[in-house]
Amino acid sequence: MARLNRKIIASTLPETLIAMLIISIAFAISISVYISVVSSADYYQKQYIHQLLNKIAMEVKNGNPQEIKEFDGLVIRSNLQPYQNNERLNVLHVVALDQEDHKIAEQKEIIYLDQWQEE
Amino acid sequence: MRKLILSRKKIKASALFYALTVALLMSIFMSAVIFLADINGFHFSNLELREQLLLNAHSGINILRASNDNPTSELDLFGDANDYVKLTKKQWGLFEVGVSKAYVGDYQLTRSAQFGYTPLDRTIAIYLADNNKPLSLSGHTFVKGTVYLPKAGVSRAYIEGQSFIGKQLIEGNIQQSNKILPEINKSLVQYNLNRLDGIQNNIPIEEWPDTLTRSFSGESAILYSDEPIIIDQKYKGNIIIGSDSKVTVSNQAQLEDVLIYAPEIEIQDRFNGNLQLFASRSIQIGQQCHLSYPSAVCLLANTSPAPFIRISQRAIIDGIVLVYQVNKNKEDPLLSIEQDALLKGQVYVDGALELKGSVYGNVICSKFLLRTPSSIYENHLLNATIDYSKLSPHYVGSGLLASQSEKKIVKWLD
Repeated sequence: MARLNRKIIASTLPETLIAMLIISIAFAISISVYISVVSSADYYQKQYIHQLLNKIAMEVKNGNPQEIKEFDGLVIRSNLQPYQNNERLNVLHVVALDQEDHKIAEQKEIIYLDQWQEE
Repeated sequence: MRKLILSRKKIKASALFYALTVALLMSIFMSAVIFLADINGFHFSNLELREQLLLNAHSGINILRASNDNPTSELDLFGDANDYVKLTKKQWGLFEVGVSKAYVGDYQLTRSAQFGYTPLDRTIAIYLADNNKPLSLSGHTFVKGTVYLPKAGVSRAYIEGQSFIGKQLIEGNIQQSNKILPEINKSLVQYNLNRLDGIQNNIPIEEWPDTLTRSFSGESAILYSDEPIIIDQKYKGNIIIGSDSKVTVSNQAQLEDVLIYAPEIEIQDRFNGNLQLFASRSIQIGQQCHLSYPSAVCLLANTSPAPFIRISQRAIIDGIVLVYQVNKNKEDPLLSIEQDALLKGQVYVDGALELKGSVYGNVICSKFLLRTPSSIYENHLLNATIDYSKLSPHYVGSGLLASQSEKKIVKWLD
């Protein structure tokens, strides 16, 4: 049997147990903080909804109006209303609603109705 | 015995140390995650606010586009006391500039746009006033588009040893023109005449900076001198340059969106920039100059001898060239477009047009003039090109004519 000449770095059992306990606690706290940060900050969802609203608004401006569209459990409604009786101007209103019909986000803009949009 | 051995052999134990280090690193990492999440949230809410301001500012620009009246000072866009815009509109040379300042709470954002008008009929190549003389074509002259000609019509001519070379004289419809040119927008001309007659200086000549950028949301910077001036500086935006005698623009100058008013204006060879020029005596555009879209070269002629515009060889002008006679009793002003010069846009000449280069767009003129070493010919074109189809379908001109079609955005300014 070979004999070791070098010193072996090792820990005692209670030390190892305490270390494991500290790491577990730290890891548990970290995960809970990370999850709470990610879930509480709803800007990821907001960003997504924001992009959807922009996309729908762009489709309407390109002459492809769709009143209701559904995306991942969200309902996006868009409508065009004349603005102050001006035949060239319209208010484009795009709203995102959840499944309970609660408004999550909206976007309003006055758009100019080009001739090609009328055709 | 065993106790003795253990006391002699010390075993290094560092698990606790490592555990604390890892815990510390994890806490630093998590702090960074929380910090980044916070920054991201802040950034997103800023972005959201900015986007709302941008939409409101664009809405304001659309309101300005749809209306010809002077805008109300402050407007609650949707009547919800949340989205306000402040709208202003002003004349900028041959174009209009609209400024929309959007407010939400303490935040604000400004956008400004230059407005113009699409030509009523894009397919017009020539409108030649009926002065009882036919239009005569010779050499490699090419005309494409609808042409409005005198009752005498169009004919071939043999000039300087060159007869007409081509399959047909006009590639397009021929209609009869009137004795007078289509009516010009007099208020637009008058506005620029007033500017030409008197400009109030607001920056003394000794304080003229080498570089100046001025937003359209504020007052114009007016650089005026009663002496001849040479411009070799870098100016951009809401800036008006004027002189009581002559303005020379060096090819070292970098000018964008700038207006120049002077009796005489000279643009040196190989200048590149975006300008609107207004003169009463003469405008000379040097060789290989490029005045980019939307530029304007305007002669508001009220002096004698005959005022003129000369566009030299290989110069390119994207925009509008206007020659207007303030006093009809004086000698006809002249627009001379030399060989290989190119004009992309609209040409309106209340006077004579000598065309040896090309026009991609439409030409409205009282008469054509052709000067050769041996003679002067009226209503003759030699080796000239007028082609409406080579003008971009997205071209937007100015409200030059009294009858215009739809107002459009020419360009976003700031």
